[in-house]
Amino acid sequence: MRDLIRESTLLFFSSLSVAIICIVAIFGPFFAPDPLEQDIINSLLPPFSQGHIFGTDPLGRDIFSRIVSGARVSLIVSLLGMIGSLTVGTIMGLVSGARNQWIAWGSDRLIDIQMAFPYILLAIVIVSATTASIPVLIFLMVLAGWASAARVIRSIVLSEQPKDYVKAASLVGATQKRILVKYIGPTLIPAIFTIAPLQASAMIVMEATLSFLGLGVQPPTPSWGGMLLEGKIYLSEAWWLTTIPGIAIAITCASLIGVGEGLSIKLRGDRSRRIDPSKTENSSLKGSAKL
Amino acid sequence: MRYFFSRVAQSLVIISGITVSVFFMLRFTAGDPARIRGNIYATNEVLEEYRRQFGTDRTVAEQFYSFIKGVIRGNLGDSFRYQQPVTELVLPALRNTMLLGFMALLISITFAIILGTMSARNPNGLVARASGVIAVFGQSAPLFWVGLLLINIFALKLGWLPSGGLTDWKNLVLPSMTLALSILPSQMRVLAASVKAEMDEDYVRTAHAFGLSSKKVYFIHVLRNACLPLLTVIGNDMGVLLGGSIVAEVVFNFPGIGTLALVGLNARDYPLLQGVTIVAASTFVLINLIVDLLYTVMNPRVRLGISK
Amino acid sequence: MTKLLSIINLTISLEGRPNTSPIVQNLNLEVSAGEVLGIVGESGSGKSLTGLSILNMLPKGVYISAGQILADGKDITRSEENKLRTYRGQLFSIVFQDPGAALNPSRTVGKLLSDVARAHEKSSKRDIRKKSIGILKDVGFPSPEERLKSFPFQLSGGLRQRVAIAMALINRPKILIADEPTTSLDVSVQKGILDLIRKRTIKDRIGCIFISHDLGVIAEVADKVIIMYSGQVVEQGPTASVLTNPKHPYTRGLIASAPSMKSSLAKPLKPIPGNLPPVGRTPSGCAFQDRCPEKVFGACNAANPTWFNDSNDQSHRWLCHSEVEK
Repeated sequence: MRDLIRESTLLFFSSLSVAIICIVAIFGPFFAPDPLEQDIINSLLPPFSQGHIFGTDPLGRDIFSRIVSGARVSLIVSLLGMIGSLTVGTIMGLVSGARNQWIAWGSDRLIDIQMAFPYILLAIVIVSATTASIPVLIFLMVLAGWASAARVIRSIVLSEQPKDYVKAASLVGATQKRILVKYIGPTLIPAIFTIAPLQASAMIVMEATLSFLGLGVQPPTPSWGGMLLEGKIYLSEAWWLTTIPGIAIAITCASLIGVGEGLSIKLRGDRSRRIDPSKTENSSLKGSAKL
Repeated sequence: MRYFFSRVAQSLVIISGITVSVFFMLRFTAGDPARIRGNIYATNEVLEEYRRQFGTDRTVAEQFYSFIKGVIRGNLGDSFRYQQPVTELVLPALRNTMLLGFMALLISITFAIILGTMSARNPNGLVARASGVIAVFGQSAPLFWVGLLLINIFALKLGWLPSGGLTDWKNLVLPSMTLALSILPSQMRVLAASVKAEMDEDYVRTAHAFGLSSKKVYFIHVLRNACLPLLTVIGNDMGVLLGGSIVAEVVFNFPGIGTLALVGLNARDYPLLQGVTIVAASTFVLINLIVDLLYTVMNPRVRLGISK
Repeated sequence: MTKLLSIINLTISLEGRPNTSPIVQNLNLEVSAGEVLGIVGESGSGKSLTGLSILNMLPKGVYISAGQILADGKDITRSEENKLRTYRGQLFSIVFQDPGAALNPSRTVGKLLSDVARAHEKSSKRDIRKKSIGILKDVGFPSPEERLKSFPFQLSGGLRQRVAIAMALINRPKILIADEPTTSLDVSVQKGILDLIRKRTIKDRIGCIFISHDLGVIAEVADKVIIMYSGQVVEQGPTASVLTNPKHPYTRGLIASAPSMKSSLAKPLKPIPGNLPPVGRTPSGCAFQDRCPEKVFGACNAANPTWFNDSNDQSHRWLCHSEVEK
């Protein structure tokens, strides 16, 4: 019983945290002042000033509302990026399980290359070739993230393939595609749910990083990464310009990672067998007692 | 031996591929560099003069040909903005970035081994739990935020270390620590897991049975074998480091490849951007090659299996 | 004959479980120089734990709750870890069942041997090399000089086991524990290893404990044998006597159920019905009662069995009740 609570606590609190963040992001902008409204007279106010709970930025804009609107932007972009990445990743992972040697090999190589290559460099080149905009940003994020999802999917597919139900399906005449989608597919769902939060977390960091470098969300649209870029110059005078968005990012990421970890503990816990106490003694007689 | 050559050849192919694709990608999608170089009032003659200078008045094929000729000779063209050969700009920057990356790797591996070892031996101890927290922090907090945080604390509030530039060794401390934090979690995790796995192995029990001291058993048997998976992770980390250093360089105003790339991007300085990308990517490929070959050498099974 | 190893009333119990019966109860055995003592039993009978207890390398949660182990006159049950460490490898050594797992796959044969040789005293590289080649020759390892650079994965199972035996013997221990050393080897290779162990036991005047579940192997290699059931010794004596003239119903059952080349192909194998009692829950009275074909109700479950001696051979004894027909 204690284990059950311990298993679920992480999941519970992390999900709660994520839910709060989402609610703030969706409904927040209705309650907070306009993030784009500049008010130069009141610029660079520290937190807890009159009317500005998080302070103001160099142009007098309210930090709190920028955080809340930035949450919206960052979360939506990351969500789209995550969906795209998972989609591409799942497809490529399934392709890696193909019986055709060459297709599988090709897909494997692609995954390896992508995983190793630093995405920021690629981002610089692509942005220079096009422009910095949100669609490009999402495209970059999918490009950077699909491989880690693909890897997980691939390993599941490969471990399911030798199993009997797959062999039975192919004996009955199911085509490869059908097997992959209809038979192995359902087993992937728990895994996808576990990776999704982790991917989302990585996407948030990615978006923040790219915006910080000026390659992502462009001003004046507020985004957490962009706020960090703007705040960097004022590091010595106005610490809140950088610290607050940073905390927002860290909390969001940690919550998402918590959801992912919690889910994986939960799902693993259901599948593992209960340990019979009288049998554990025998298993502790390790080594030479093997027969 | 054959594996060695095939890997080298593979790397060369990849480098060539990158070079060619970067060249074409920039040429075809970017705007007319002459127009960018010249201001709005530039007349056609001035623009033609620029085009002649940059070589963009010739056909793409001719441009490509002269580019390749240049590359072989080690000439990557001249930067639009700085009016200097790209190589002169890129190489010092590369040196700085690699220095930074190397320091970060050193710090990270050291801590990974120490903390990973202590965590594996005492999974419920203080060190293990603290390492866990550091790991989550390193994974979830974006690199640039950590960097800014460190600057805030150590440079501004405490004044112990400088916050940017590159004038002496002190400049390296904060950026390399920041970078190290980004790769530490995965290394620690892998090491702790493989140490734990090794300690359960029969040959560790055998070593104990023959009276080897715990210290000897650990260093000779457990740690040596546990380092192999770590090497694979390190290979992966190279990419992370390269990307990360771009960000860290921005945060710390560090004169490396990253800042150079962004300058090239923002100034639409195509030769520079091209040169930086090609050099950075090639370095990356080479480092990967070295790590791969190192792994082959260190793993006796692979080493001897190949030469048979 | 010098008594090299004496185990007196050894009892091994599980930690933190006061209501369960011990895993090994009141074990007594003696090994002298130049002789091989076999320990026979099913898996779970406690035979491997007995071997590990001599090295004081019992797994977690298992400890020696009573009794004494005297190795070459030294009481090792009361010794501290530092002293024990010097004993391991030098006073007593062990050869495990699976040589593939027991040898570190990333170290060469030469390195493995030098690791053990240098565990206790410093020697020059040349001396160690000479020692290593010498011991490899002693265990019948072909062309040892060249093979010092080989890795375990390049060797066959039999050769690996020879290396393991060489590692055990390189520091010239007085007591050798062989825990199922041939179980994971091919039958054709087994004989070579058994001969090797016997030869070295005699030549080096070692006291060897050979643990196995295979009666045929025991018959080949052991001078005397103890039969274990559910943590207790149920019969012991000279191998020839015990195997040709088994007295305890369990021993008889073991022999009847063992396939051998000599038995007639027409006669079916007779397995012993039932299973070992679960660990920690040995029934009161005789441990074997639930499976014994000669059980006498009222006697076997009521009182603990006692020792009986063979009239022809005093050293051949077994546990039973007087009510049971001999």
